[in-house]
Amino acid sequence: MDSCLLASTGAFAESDVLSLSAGLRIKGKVLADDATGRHHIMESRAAELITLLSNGAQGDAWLRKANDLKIKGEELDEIISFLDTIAGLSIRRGKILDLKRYEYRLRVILYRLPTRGRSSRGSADFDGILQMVILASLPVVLASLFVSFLMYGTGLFNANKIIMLYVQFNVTVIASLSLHEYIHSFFANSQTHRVLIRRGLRIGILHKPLSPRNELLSSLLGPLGGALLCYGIALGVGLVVGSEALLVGYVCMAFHFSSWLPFYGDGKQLMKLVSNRSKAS
Amino acid sequence: MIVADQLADYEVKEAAVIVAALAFCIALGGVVAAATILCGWRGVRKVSTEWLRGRVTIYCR
Repeated sequence: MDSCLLASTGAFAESDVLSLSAGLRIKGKVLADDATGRHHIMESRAAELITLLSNGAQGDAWLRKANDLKIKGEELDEIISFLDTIAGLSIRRGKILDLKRYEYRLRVILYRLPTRGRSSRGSADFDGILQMVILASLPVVLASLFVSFLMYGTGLFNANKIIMLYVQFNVTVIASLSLHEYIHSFFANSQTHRVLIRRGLRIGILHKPLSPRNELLSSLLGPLGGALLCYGIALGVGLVVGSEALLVGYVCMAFHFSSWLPFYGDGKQLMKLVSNRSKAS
Repeated sequence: MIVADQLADYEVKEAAVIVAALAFCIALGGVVAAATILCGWRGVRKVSTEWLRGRVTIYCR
């Protein structure tokens, strides 16, 4: 197996079931994305291979089909890489304990190959957002649990207080991020069909370009709504736990305000709006 | 194999919250682990932080 094919198969195991994510359709040699209204042109062999995903295909059958179509390793990697970029490949685990998958993953890490199959799409309604946020927040839930055990060990706080602060921190992160994303989704919904996209720890709403007014409101109100919810929860918990709850609330508010940093996300969108406005004037 | 629509905007807006929360957990965990190692069986009485100077002071029991 060459390195390109290995990188591709590192995304899934033979027992996994692969399909196209919601919002993607195939029309001949065109891959249409309803979420963004864009059309990607495929080569005929790629179109044939991707069409197989419309009804779902098992990993090994899909790889066999690629082999039948004489698609080389690097070409298959290009297809999977592209689908990963648009979160277009939905992977349902066939067997939870498929050792092959871990072997592929390990090889991808050891050979320092780019990882694939990390992105996924979901519904952008409140239930879908909450589900995705909970999944993406699992590392935070586990890390904060470990820190809570350490804190209990030092004797800084009693067990009741640690449990209250742990629950407050995680509920606040999950609820406020869900609200933050729901506000983005709400503004995207007024104009377009929209989809939730997750890449590891990152979550965002995929949509067609918004009007400047909606873009501005979405970028300002998303972080603000999340931060206000953090403050509200902290005030409520603070009545029982004390000043530490307020401190947790302020920290969570800072997480949302960091979205306004101009390098990415909401801050980047705001900078783009400002520069477009100054160019126009 | 695939020619992407050049006008496609697949920018993921949200990036900061979970990453920031995880960074906070790691930083806090580091301070608490240091306090545990430094104070040992006696336990920690207080931890004070000076954010601007980047200094943490640990008071043992």
